[in-house]
Amino acid sequence: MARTKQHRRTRLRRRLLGWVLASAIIGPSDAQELVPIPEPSLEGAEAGFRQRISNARDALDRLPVAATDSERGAAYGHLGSLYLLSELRAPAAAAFTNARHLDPTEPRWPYFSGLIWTDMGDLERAEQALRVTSELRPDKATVHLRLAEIVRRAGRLEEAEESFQQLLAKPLSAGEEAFARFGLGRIAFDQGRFSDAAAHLEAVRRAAPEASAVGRILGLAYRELGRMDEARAALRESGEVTVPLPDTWIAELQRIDLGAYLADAVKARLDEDYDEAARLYRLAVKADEERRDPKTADALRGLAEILFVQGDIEGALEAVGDAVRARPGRADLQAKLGEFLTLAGRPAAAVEPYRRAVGLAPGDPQAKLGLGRALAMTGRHEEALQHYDQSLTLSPEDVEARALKARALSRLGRHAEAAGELARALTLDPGNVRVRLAHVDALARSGDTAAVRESLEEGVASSDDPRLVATLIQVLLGDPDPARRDPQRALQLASALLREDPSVAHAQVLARALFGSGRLADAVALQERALDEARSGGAPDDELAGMEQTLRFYRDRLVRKDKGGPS
Amino acid sequence: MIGLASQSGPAHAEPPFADVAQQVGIDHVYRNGMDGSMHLVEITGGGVALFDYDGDGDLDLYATQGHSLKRDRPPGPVRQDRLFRNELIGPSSDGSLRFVDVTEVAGIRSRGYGMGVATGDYDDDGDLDLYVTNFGPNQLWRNEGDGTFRDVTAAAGSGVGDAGWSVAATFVDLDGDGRLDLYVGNYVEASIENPKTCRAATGELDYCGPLAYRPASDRLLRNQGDGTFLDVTRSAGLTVAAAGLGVGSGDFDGDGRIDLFVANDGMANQLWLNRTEPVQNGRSAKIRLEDDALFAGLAFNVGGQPEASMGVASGDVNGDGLDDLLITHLLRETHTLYLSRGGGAFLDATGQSGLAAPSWMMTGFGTAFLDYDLDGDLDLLVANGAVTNFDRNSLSAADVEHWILAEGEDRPGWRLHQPNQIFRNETVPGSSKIRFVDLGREAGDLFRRAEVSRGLGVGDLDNDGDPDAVIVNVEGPLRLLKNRSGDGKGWIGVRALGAAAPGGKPRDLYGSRVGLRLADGSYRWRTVRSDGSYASASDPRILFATVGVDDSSAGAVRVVWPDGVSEDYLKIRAGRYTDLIRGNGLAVTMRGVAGATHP
Repeated sequence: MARTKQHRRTRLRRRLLGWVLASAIIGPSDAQELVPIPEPSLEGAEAGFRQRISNARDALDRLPVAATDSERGAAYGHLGSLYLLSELRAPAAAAFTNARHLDPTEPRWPYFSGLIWTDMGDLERAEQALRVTSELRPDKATVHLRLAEIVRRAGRLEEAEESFQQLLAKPLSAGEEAFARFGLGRIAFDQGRFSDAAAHLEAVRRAAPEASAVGRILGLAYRELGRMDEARAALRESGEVTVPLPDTWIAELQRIDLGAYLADAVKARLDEDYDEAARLYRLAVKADEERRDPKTADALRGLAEILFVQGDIEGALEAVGDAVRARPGRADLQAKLGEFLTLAGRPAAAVEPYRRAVGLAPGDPQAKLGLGRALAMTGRHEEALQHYDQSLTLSPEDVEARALKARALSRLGRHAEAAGELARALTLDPGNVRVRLAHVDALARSGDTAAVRESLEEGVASSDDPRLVATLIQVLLGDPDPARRDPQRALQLASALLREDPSVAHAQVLARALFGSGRLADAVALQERALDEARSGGAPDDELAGMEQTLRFYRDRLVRKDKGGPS
Repeated sequence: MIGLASQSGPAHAEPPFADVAQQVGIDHVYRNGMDGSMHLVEITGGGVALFDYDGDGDLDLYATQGHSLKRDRPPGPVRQDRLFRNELIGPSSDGSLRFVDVTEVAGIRSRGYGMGVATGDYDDDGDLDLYVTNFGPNQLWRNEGDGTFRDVTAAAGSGVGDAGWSVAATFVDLDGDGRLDLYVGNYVEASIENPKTCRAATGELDYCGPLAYRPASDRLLRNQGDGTFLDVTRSAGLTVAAAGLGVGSGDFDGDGRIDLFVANDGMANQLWLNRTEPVQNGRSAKIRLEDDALFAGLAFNVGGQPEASMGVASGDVNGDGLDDLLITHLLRETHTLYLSRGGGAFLDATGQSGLAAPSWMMTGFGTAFLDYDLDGDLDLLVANGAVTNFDRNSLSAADVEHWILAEGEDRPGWRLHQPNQIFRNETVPGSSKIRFVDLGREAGDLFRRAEVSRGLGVGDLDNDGDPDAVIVNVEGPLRLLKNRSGDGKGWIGVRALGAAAPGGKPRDLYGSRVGLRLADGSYRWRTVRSDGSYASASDPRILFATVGVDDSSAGAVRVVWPDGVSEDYLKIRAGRYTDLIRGNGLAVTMRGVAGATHP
């Protein structure tokens, strides 16, 4: 035991000694060769961006002495990437210089340096950096294409032409081939070889038909060849879309912003600043226009949810549709699309995304439930029942699912079964007024009037919701079985209801109770007051008409009673 | 790293230009009224005109002025455009160049936020009038011939006082009736009351680009010969709105009619080819223009992309007898050189010209071709200055450190300073490859000084036979660049004038082509124009270096007047300016024209 402890201490001491030696060898000498990173004023910059830069700089400062060169290079690379994304080229260039120095095996750092130098017009340094990249990644066509383009821009046309030709001899993607041909076309154009230029540019149009700007130079090549009709046609059909170069490293770089924007958006949403959240979600989406990152779909979904809440239904559907197109294999996105389509009143269109969601996530009860609801809304209740049952198998205590199943059963005329489902739901959630009312309705439709009263009494006992009380009053006054009627209790409940909430609706409930209790004059008086109140409150015409009709009925009965007729 | 470090060529004993503005009495600073609101208009003015308003044979100077953009700006005198009279006595090699501010005496009461200025004798009375473009209503100033000007905007017809945002303008006879029509280039529809907010990639507040606004329609005003203009914009075919900043005139397709090139910011440029039918039976024809920029190869750069076109320079840079075009642009777009192929066709020759690399990180505005070193070919001067504060972040520290910045100039919220550039034309005679070289350090500290330059006018201010230049700086002193390269070199100066109306004086015939006959029988061609550059008007006189002229050809000048009629003028004396009045030369036969004028 003692020997083991001693052995461990020795190992630890050796490791510590190794770290000290490493830091003594690597740290100070590197520090002397690293270039300072300019700190441009970020006074007016967005808080999120400032924070990200600050974090990246802090991360550099906090690196342990024993951090490897690769780790330090990565930290500088990350800082450079943040600066580059915000077009702060000078500090980005310095950060990548350090990153390259610390980790000369990482090809992205010289590559990004090369792009920055290209942008800053220093083609010589750009070329050097890209040559380093090409040695590290000789297989990456994008690097070689950019290199050839720099040589072309530097005016070494013959050399650039040879590079582009060599690249074309290798397997290239359609986009890469279009880029190479565009370079060759421009070289031929600059050299006055307009026939060659036209041939290359026609090839670009075939490989990248979306690159409409090609028509502008192609048209001029035809003009120089005297082929005026073709020239006019090419120019007429031209546009501003240039020839894109597919670049996975740039796409990766842009996605750094995605995560940051997404986090900021979520925070803004939690702060209920929905406009800001929508803006940040949009920026997150823009940071990954090629939709490569899974988080982009999250940003699109978040954007859709905000737009939906803000009433921009079409915008929400477009965003969630984009999310689905970006990640068609995600069940949650398919289900979200189905949900929005359903809520937008397009249940038929919602069925397919829900079906895909169910297929992708067979164990998800919510997807099945959504599918059932969409089917039910299109009148396919039998099919809906199957999906509700499957959902309930997976989640038997889902009150919402039981209620939906009951509704489907009711639509099919199976009211007793519906009442049974709702009774099960009420055992899980006795205070659920919506389910209670549905239960009462199902019982009434199935003819079990005794059970109706019983359910309502249970409901009133567990909830003081006025809808339940009003319904109970109605039953107490009009139960088909006269023996179960109880106008006095109805009157007490109605009085209490009006005291609690002196609304027009409750005044009418009390008027009805008064009427049912035989106090016709009081009923007429209260209904008149309710009507006046409704009129002065600007109630809709149809509502006023209904109240007037009720008032006429009460008056009629009162007149008959006064005349000694039947009431 | 960029242009500043790319110097080559032999070192001169002294820089070619010296700023003498202060010592000759010009103390103008264009004030843009900025208050941190980042109104686009703050970075678009101002301009300058070099013109002989008092007819005493030397160039006077008019400079536009901005003012506060606050709606509740304090009461008091609004800053005025300024007119400076040149009090030169003889050539100024003796240092006698002097300017006097005569704004008030001349009756100039500018009321707008000044942008640019155009010059021309629109009323044919032999003296030069002024058209001033503003952010707000423009003003037409009629030269009364007695040293004063009168604001005749309202009386000159609707449209003359265009109330939009105009920058470029030119007087040009488009219908060939001998009277100068007026083309007004409008930029975008913007208002101080409802400003746009734009941000850099970091979220920092910065100036918007033109695409944030709706482009404004240009305006064409036809001279009716009675002191008024008629707005013929739509009937002439100008139906497409674009963000115009520069305009230059010339017969770009060689059909004997003066055309217009309009440089648009961030969208396709326009080449308005003049399709007006010739005047018949003394009746003026309806002006008709057609945009053929796309086919001409001038609408977009060689990559097929629209550029932020600002200034225009026009001239024959490769000696083939055809006027070429140079357009200044935003950084990362280059100053783009379009060589004429004849017949209205141009090719982008920037890549092979040596202009691309040094102009890549510059945002150019005013520009002009000028033979500053009197070696017979046209060199290039460009006034630079960024348009977003953010542009500075793209520059290396080494570049910025090389610049000369006055204390306080490089402050947050106003970091648009860039040095101006002069490029020497080093094209080998007879070579098809054009070659410009950025003088860089050789040009001296004047071209290391980073300023926010806009308008640029060129002319021989001291009448010593070499072209000088004036550059307007936003929130910085106007620079008068006195040329010191031409001392002791041979030159011929001419002014191409139309015959005077009865009782009047002759006026410059813009669009005339003037050729100096060289020893080998060929001609060195220049065009009479005052327009081009940015928001500015230049000296319409023609200056020729006498390089390439021998005894047999000495002083032989041919003029092709705007209507195509040619005349030869012989034994023109060197070392002075000579008026070439139409009708006083020797008529050139068709054979002669065919053999010696346009190739």
